[in-house]
Amino acid sequence: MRLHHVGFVVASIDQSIPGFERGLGLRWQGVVFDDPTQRVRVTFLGEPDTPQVELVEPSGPESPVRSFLAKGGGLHHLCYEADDLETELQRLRAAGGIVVQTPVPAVAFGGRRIAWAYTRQRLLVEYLQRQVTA
Amino acid sequence: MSTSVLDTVRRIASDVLDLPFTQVTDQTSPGTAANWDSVQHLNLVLAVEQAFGVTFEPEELDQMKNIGEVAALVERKRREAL
Repeated sequence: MRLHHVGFVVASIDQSIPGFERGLGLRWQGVVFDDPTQRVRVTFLGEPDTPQVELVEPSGPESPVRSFLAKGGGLHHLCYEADDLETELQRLRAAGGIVVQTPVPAVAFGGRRIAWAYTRQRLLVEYLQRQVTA
Repeated sequence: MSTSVLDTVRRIASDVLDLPFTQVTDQTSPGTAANWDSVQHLNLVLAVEQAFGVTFEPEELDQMKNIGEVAALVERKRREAL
């Protein structure tokens, strides 16, 4: 597995980008994705071949990050790129973690599948399939 | 519903959500408990799984709208395991 990005929840992507570019010295990749499945808007800063920062903005009142944002937002999750999501979820389950969402395609990753899990160590983890699956 | 299961879930929720036990009822929900956000929901699920030795499916996490429904799911899981 490889660390793909760190998710950071913000109230407004548009208003947050300049501060992240200045504060971290990262380049904004220039695209904002609206993901109706996850009910968020996301964008990325940093170089694609290194771990990036993902800004996550709720896209409606039912967004799963809405309550997290209400408490201030901030660091939210780690995303690991993996060859086989099912294998990673089975391993996490065996270690006592929770599968929060089974694999679904994600618009922000060109249709590659993502899954969500929560570890016994109280860490929210997103898994990203390394390759697009047929 | 079993009082012991409900009371155990109430006690777990009291610890996770940092609420007095007496304030946690079967109707306590994210709408009534300020601390019950999406992350604390997962902490509650983890603690309930550990306490009862049950495993919840992803779609069941969304069915836990209040403490009573969490307890009801635990009871159903335990019946299915018999």
